[in-house]
Amino acid sequence: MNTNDRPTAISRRDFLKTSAGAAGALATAPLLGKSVSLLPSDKNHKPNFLFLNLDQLSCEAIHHHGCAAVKTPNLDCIGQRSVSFTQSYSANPVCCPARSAWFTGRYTPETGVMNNGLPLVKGMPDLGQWLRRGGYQAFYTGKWHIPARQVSNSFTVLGPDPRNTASLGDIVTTRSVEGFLRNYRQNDPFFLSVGLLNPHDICSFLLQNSMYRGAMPYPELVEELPPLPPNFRCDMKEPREIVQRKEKYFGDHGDESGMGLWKDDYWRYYAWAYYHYITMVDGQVGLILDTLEQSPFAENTVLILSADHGEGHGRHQMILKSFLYDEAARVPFMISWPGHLPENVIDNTRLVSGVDLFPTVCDYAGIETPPNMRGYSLRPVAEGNASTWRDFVISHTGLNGRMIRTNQYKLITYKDDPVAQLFNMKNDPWETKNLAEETALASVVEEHRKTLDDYEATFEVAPLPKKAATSAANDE
Amino acid sequence: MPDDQKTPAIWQYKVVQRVLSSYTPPAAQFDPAGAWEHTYNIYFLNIRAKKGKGKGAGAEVNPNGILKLSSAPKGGEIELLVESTAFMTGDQTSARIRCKNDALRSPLSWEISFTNQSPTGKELVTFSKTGAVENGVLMKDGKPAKGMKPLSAYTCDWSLFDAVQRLTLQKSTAPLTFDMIEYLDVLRENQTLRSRGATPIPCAGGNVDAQEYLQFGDAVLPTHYYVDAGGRLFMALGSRRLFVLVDEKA
Repeated sequence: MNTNDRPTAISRRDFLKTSAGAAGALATAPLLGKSVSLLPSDKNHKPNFLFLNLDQLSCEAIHHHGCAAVKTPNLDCIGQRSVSFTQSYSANPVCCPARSAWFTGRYTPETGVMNNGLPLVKGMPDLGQWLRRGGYQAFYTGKWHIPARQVSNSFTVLGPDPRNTASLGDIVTTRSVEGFLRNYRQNDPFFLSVGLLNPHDICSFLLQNSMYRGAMPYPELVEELPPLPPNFRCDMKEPREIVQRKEKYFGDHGDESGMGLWKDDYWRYYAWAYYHYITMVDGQVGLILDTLEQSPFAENTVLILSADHGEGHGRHQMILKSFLYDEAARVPFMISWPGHLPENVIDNTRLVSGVDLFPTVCDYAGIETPPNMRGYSLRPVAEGNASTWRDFVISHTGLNGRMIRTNQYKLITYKDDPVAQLFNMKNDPWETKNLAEETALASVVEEHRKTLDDYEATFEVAPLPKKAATSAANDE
Repeated sequence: MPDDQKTPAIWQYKVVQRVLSSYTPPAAQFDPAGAWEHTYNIYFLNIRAKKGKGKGAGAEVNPNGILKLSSAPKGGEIELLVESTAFMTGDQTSARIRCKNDALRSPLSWEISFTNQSPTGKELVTFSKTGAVENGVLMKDGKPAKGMKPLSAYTCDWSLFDAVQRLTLQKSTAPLTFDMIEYLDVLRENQTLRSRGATPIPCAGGNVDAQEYLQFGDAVLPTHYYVDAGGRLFMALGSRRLFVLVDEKA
């Protein structure tokens, strides 16, 4: 990586570059829809926002993104109306940290939410508070899960208490959205965040199926199980935290482990179950879409869909999240606005992060962002007229793991661990060959590491509580 | 699991066994074709078990909600009343469904309402809507639902609780195939229901001889229904939700 590519003359230390790849990116992002005409962001034309956030949805696990094994007609419908960024990364692929990044526009070393359960630093503005100051009504329903930030202090909470939405499933959240869209009558524009829980319910799989000891319990289903992924078996060096995690899960310790006993069909059954949870929540998305379309807000609502993190579902023989392989770290990020944004665009090139949500919403709302935003507005790239874009994106996991992804490479490192991982994402998108020890690529490793170090040196790192969580990432 | 061992039943999951350890079947006779009312506790199964001897370990499993179903013959059809309440979130769903008197208790028309309350009892969200299936077309609030195929054999998730009580499926017979309108709103296609035969299930008062039915389909994790010798559905388990009968009125 040539660090001189960084346009240091550009304010905000933003690491944008005039990208030679930008033209190529446009070439791979066909504009198939209507011509674009933008409304000015003045007070009379401020759009509403519907932020649909799903929990534990891998970017690849959507039919629209090429996954033949999953049925997602409603997510596909959103994709067909959207600009969909497929190189979009969770800022920290586990629930609380990822959500803290969404709603503050800051990476998790700055939010302080490096692990589930760690508190968001005091005083850092969140999106609800910020939009309210800008004249918006901010509403929230469904899962929130940001410790030390009372959601009702930042948003008007619809329907169920966001701490308890797991109790009867996503239909409760969906019904609250229906009620809102049918009844909202105020003149102010609104931002509505909808936290749907699934496919997170796959987390119960280990426990609920523990008595099967890794043998497929439903022979009737074998014919319809998805195949094992291409990276199911790949022999490569992995960081100590990944090795230890696999030892923990593969060991036969009782209810929550025993993955070493899993037969191939059982791994495929796990993926099958994951895909069914996705189809389950897809139906809720469809119900919300139908309600939006029949509401007075159909034409003037920016719809953004993303997920806090992905899910292993057998890739690299991993399940759940809290690691930095793409299946856990790469998430969907779709944005649509009828008549204002191109439709059916899949952008496979631009590197996007969860921290981009905040500035993107502010841009469309015509509101200045708070200082020190780490993300960037996706508006220029979504509208197809960006001449510059970032050349790398980063992500973290737990207190020790971090990742930098550039156009071609991805480097994963863990603190005090000599094993790094370098993947050529162009040639090896399944991340099967760790190139970090290739002599010819030593300079690539060092350049990526230095870029990451330099970038992180700009962080206003949040103090960790004395009783910080364990050093390893947790995965619930 | 060694190949020579039998696959365990899903009710052997220890959380289910803990719930069943306090289940006693109703003593009265039950007629699934008559008028009846069943109340089920709904348990949302936890992601992780409480371990060790700490708080919550091995503790009683507490229900997260209630489902009350009332079924009665009415003019050659079946009227099914539904009330579903979540304890912690304060939401309540009510439905009145006209069903065909067929094997699947196929819904013909319905009214459904939803209310959510804050912890102080203030109503936050409330609305009602109607639906029907007319000539195989799913209608919502009087309009054809968008993008849905014509329905032939179909039911809804709540009707299935009624339907399984009168099934004559045998283990050897072909599964029933149908589509399901979940929550009277979301079409789930390609459903099947098959018999897994008889199985004794240990409960508080001894074994309950149950017929087991198993549902597969789009957006449905394998869902097991257990009907006792009297013809009553006393337990259903699918995805993360467990329903166990707690009250019966004739």
